[in-house]
Amino acid sequence: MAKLKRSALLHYIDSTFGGSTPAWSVIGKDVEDMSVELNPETETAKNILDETSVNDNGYSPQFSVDTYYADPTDDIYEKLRDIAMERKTGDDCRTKVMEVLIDKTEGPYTAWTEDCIVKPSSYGGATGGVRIPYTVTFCGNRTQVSVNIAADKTVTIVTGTVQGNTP
Amino acid sequence: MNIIEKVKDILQRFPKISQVVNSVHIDFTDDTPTSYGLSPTGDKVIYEDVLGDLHKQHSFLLFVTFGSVNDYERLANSSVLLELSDWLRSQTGEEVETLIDGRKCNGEITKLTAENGTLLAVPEENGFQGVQYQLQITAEYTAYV
Repeated sequence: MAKLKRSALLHYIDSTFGGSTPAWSVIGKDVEDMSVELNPETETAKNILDETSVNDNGYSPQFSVDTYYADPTDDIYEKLRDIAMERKTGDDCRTKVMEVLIDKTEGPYTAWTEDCIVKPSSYGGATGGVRIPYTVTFCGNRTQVSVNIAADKTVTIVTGTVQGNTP
Repeated sequence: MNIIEKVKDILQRFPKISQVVNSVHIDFTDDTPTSYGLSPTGDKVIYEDVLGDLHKQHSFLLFVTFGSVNDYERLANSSVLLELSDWLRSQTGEEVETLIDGRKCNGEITKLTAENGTLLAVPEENGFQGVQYQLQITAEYTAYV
């Protein structure tokens, strides 16, 4: 297998925002560049003996979807619209994110789910369509699962249970 | 329909074409008024999104033969090209198929523009046999891989 194409890393969001059965909606349409920023936090300290120690405070991962054209037929459109227009906060913005890495020639593939907060950063944009760019901030309960992916990018969990307690 | 077939199909639905000739040739234009010929000039990928879907652009030249006996006809010719440009801009969302690695991928036209309508040729140095205009058409479309 040669180097992985960018489309080998897929991100999904549970469009039910806390429903009993997650509905995974693939994200990234029209997006040219999207990276999970891990934002690692470390502290370096030096004692009086000139010894250096590093405290690892973990990560604060998040990613931004810079191009999202408002599309009423899209699964996450209604939630994004409501969060943005009704200025919703807290649990109303909480859902789950799934990351799938297609690094094998056939499934099942390894995937990770995690609780997350979805926050639109603005709305409007230039001509060409209404845009609602948003940021997804990971917030724990990370779980590894195995998934199968259909040709239309529909994802199905094969083994493993999604952890976490979304409202 | 692939992008060439689709743009030809859209052009044939333009009222001023369907009322007069109801047909658009490919890479060929009659030298008698009124005739339309569509010539594809190239296809390129604008960008690939993170899902692997392709955002492509296809360029065309549209050759149109109009009568050109007097100023009244020549003004009407330019007006038709202007109307066609405006009409094409509204024809987005049409479904297209693209063959990628032998697999048919669905997609849609996201932008259709026409510009630079110019008088290209006057046969026999007179306007009685029909003069030829050229219009550049650009179609942007997606292919969901």
